[in-house]
Amino acid sequence: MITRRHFLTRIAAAPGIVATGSLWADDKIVAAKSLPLHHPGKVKSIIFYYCKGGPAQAHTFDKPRSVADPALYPFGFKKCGQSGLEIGDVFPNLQKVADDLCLIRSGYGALATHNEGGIHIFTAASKLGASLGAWMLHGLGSGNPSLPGHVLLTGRAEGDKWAVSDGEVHGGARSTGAGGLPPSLQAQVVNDLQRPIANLTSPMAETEQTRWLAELSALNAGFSARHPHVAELDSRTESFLAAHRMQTAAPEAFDVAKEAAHPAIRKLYGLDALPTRSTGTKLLLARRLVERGVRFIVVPSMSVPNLEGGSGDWDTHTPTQVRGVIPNLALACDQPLAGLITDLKQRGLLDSTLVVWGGEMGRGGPGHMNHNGSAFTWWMAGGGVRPGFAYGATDEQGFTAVDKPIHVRDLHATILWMCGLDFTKLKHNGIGFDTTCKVARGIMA
Amino acid sequence: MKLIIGILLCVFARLAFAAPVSFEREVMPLLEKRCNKCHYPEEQRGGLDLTRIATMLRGGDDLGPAIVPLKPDESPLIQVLTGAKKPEMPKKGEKLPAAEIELLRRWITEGAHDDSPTFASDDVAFFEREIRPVLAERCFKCHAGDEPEHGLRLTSRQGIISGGQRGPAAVAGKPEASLLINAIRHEGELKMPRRGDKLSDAQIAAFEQWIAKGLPWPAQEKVLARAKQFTISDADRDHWAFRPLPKAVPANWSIDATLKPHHEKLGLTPAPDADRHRLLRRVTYDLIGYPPTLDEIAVFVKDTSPDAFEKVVTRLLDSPQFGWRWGRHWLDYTRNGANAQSNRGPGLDTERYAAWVAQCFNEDRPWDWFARIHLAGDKMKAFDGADYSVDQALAAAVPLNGQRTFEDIATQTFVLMDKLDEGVEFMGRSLMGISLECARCHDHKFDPISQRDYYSLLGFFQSSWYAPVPVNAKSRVEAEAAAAKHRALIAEQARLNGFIRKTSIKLNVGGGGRVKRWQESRIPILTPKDKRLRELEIAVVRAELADAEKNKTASLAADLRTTLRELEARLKNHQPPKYDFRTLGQLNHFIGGHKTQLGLIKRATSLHETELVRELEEHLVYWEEERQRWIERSRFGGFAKTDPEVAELAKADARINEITAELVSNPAQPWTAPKDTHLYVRVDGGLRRAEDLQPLDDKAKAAGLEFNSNDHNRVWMHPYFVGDARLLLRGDVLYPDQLVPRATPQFFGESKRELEGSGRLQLAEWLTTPDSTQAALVARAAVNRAWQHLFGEALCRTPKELGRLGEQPELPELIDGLAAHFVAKGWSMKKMIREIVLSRAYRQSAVTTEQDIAKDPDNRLFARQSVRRLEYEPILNTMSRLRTGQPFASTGNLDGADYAPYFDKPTVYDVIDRRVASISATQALFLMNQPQTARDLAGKLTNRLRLDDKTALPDVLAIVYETLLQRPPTDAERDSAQGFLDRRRKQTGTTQARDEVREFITLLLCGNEILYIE
Repeated sequence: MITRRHFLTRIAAAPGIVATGSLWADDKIVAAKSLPLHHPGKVKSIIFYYCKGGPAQAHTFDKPRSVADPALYPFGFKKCGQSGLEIGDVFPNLQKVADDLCLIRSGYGALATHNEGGIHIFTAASKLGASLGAWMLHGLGSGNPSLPGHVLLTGRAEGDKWAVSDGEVHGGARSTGAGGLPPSLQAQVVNDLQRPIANLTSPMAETEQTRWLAELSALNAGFSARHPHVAELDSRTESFLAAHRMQTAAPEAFDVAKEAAHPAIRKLYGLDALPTRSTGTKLLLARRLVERGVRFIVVPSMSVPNLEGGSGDWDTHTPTQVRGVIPNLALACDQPLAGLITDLKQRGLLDSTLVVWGGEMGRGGPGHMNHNGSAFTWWMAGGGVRPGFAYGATDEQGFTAVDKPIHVRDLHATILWMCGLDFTKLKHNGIGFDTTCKVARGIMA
Repeated sequence: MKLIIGILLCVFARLAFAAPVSFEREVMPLLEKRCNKCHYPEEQRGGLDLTRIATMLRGGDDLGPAIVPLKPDESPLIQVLTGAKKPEMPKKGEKLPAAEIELLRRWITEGAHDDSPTFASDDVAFFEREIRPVLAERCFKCHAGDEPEHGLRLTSRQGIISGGQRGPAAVAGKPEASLLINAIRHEGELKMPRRGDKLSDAQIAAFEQWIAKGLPWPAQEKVLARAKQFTISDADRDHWAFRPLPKAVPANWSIDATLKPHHEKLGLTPAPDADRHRLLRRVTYDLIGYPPTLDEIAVFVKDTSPDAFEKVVTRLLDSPQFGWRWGRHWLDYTRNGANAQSNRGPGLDTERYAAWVAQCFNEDRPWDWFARIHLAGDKMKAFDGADYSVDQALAAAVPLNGQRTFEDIATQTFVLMDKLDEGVEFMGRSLMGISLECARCHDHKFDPISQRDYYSLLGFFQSSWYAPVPVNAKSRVEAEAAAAKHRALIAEQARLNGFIRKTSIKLNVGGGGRVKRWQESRIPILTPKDKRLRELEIAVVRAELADAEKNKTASLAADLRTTLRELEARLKNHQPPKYDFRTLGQLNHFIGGHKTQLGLIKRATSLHETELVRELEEHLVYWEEERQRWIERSRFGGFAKTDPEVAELAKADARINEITAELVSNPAQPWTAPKDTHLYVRVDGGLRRAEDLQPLDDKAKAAGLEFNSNDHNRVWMHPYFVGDARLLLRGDVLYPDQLVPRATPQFFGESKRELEGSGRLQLAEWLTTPDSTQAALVARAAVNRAWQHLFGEALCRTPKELGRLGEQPELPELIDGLAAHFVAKGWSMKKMIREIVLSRAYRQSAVTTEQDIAKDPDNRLFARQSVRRLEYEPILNTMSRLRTGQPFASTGNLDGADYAPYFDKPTVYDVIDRRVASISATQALFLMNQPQTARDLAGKLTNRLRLDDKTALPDVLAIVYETLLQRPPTDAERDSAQGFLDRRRKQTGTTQARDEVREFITLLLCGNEILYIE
């Protein structure tokens, strides 16, 4: 028999999919619009600001206690807020919300090459090669049947000629893919912020389409009557009704224009200044999607101009790159992220939304700023993490995670745990997670 | 009274405090944990054996007796632990904590006694005879070593008594209270040994007796094993898929006869025969991936001869589309034959491989041969008898197409390990249907495959690699010579590059940083050039600003003004540029554009600034030439290539260019296909093992070869590897262990073949050895999958895992019978498919009674056919036929409508054993709203029907239904269509027949039935 979870994940948790209507009329799930949790969990949605290239912990959120080569470490740090967390001076606005951040300084187990590292950071724990977002959606079910549940936001805001790329994820489609889970759990990629989802415009007028859908349902009813036990036939009929709803819901959800007209919002997300405009727009959009029940939203960093000529992403090997690119990369996300946290807090959403910042690896070693898989820093905010807290630590020079090291796969297990999902119980066709995952309870409040 | 209690308490406390240290319970486990990985009888590192008191007193080679009873400070054991004496111990891992050292001191102070009980020799003999063999064979696979299952170590008496996470396993003298007995009797929730293979009653009785006697154990051997021991159990041999195939199948054996008793047992009535239309639709989609044509329907429906259906099946099996359809099923198990990661691994000719696979299916080449080809196609004669077939060599390279690699040449060995792992995985998953790759890090937890077996197989794959050979190679000798020559050229090139690099560094340094000086000399020349470029940029932005103002895009104009201000400010303080190779390269993008970067030239062009464009184009040329100059100067130590000082380097450089022209593939970018004249195929001779690289490097350098150890081509510089793989502890390349001779897994019996070269040919021959267990697996995997493609579900529903981790099939005898027929009929795919398709089971309807569905909701006994959605390729086929009206139109052009993201195009990343049929709103949007899908197809089809304005929908219904659903409409459907028409007329007021038909066809195209086979 198809179990409810199996059925729902196969059919209902697909991007923007059916969970309403006659088929579910007597089902409690419809009202809750989500699957039963394994244990109480706070996180309903996740916004992952992914720093492409692997940011150096020593330039951002993990001040090294001893520095051998000052040319590679040009940035200062400050103790911030009541918590006194030390945060890099390249993030003046995040410094102001320090008391909301939970820094995780002891990440390890990353793969120190970009492509594989990207795939690994998004899928590490999954025996099926499914991304974290796909598992979360699989576990929680869709939060809004009229919208995709897992979204990758790239592209740029109108008029942004400052950023050098649209933002992308190392590892490509696999990093946000469904792996061995149903493909419908993979991230819906938004390339064009002006036209986020394809095929939303119906050639028919609203009333005409309503009638057309009734005709379609009638037509399908004949085939379903022959096979009353094949539930997916009804689901497919339902998917057209969901599509119909999405035609209205998606443009509304993805349209930031109205909100972006407010000066307060413009300021909060940095929509006026060029360096923050695209990132701000995407994070504002992400917040709108969170409000509407979308589960997992990845916003990848964009490449930016190098102050000393050229351009780059967080893959900063040389002193020139460190000096020239990092200030701009930080500039691009500092105000928007601080604004996002403030905004979520004001709306009472910060408790149920987890904001994650991090890249595919760390950086730095004796005399160099090259890739480093044995230490990286992520931070999280909201979703019940311990605010104003630094979890774990690296060695003197910041090259290796030594105190409370947390593996990439442990991060996955921990994030899912905060969603109310137990990685040992998440399975698909009997296959699930790496059994060596450990939940790091220390980062939860 | 109180006093007495007080005294008693004191005595107890004192006793508890002063209880002597127990050798058995405390000392021995500690020694086992920290010392006896080296100091046990078989190893005796430094001549020392710490497992018994006697041998401790005898001591090791250097420090004399390890312990001096009563005198801990004079005991070398303590001295080496505290650091008082060299060598410090333990050699590996951290020092012992003070508490543990203190324990040992106390034990020595107390006289170093062994407190383990001694047993009568008869009882020990009983243990040796009855218990020990069972423990070793049935328990040590998991309950031994450093990380025993559930913390329970059954290798010592103490281990059994102290137990694991569930508590003590045995209580001496009390079998009834012992968890061990409970577990082996299968009385409680815990049933051991795991997976149902219970001990015999006699064995259980022996264990009871043994525990009742107090667990007698030999005094001389306290620990029986120090690592998990790979064993093969009867349950392994008895697993359905690991049994040999039945020798002979009764003459009257059939699918239907096999199913019948199962149906009867459950009271299932098989569904009636499917009607002719639906049957024809099903079999045509199943065998060739297309719907039947109108003519084919007419012929079959009218054909009343008894063999009408057989004729259809023959026609379909003979159709060229059959090979493509069934070849595609195989491609799912080869990651599409494609190199999944666009910039990794060899650039295999995927299309050529797919065509060859289709050809093999169409010619019905035997499956066992087909399987062998994928291991050793380059070493086998061509199917037509020729000496060599490049297609077969390509097929043998396909297992190298996985995505798991690393990008850095310094870790090239990792590339190798993961690529090779995929070779073993492919052999297991795709050919045999088992998970051989699970044994990479440890013995297989469920199947009789040891870690050693894994590495014995790995050697075959490690001894070969890929290389480009001529497409028209006629003989193996020719192909191998071409590959060898290619490799030699790469090595020569790498050597020359090393020579140039080393010499140029010398020239540069000798000249006092000649390169740097030259670069500095360029700054005054480049500064005005750069300044002019900035001016041009400003001119472009100005033009854009004017354009924005003209078109009244205020926000854009504001942005441009900001940009302009910044640029002008920067120009005012123009600095000489700090150029390097990277920034020079990026200038190219800045001017000319790149990927997402819109270059200045394009921006100026779009504004029709022809004068600007002209000058920018000049700049583009200039800066590219400049970049080349920088590269040249750096390569020749600060000289120009034509300078006499570097004549020798220039000569080497010229030779490198010659080689580059001669090479048919780019060794630095193997993921790009070789020249048209060549194909990447598999050849013998692989890359070296990780740990061999450094010594080989040293040797090569000593012999005068100039190269850098991080050189991209370094791995090509050493002799090619043919030999055995090394076992890697925990599967980690950083921990190589002993060499494992190439061999086949122990469970399947020793292969006596003499290995030639890599030995892959012998491995391939072994795989399909007649009457062998491994050949039985290959056959079972094939028939099980064929069944899946014809019924929607396989007989064993985990088709790439037939081992004990997979699902236990309901009808193993059906798999076995089919597999035996398959082998007996020469491994003929077509005959096997024909046998299944002609069965009544296949031909029955998908519609059955509610009761029967309730009795077998998952259709495990196949008393009905299934309802299943078409896969991606048949959907494309269907749509392209509707688009063109041609029976077998190419699926390449669907007017820009991309079905892949919505209809589950298979991924190339993994081995796929089950296609998904996802249902999503985005799929519905695609069909409803994408202008080139349903609506457009409906329009095209309507046009082809050539309707005139007077035709009414009901009149064309028959043809519409037959074209789309391959069946006539029922009366009810005619009525509904009429209803649709009436409602539509009322709503829209139109009565154009063409429109009506088109609308109705659109509806059918979005509906369910067209995408489902029943």
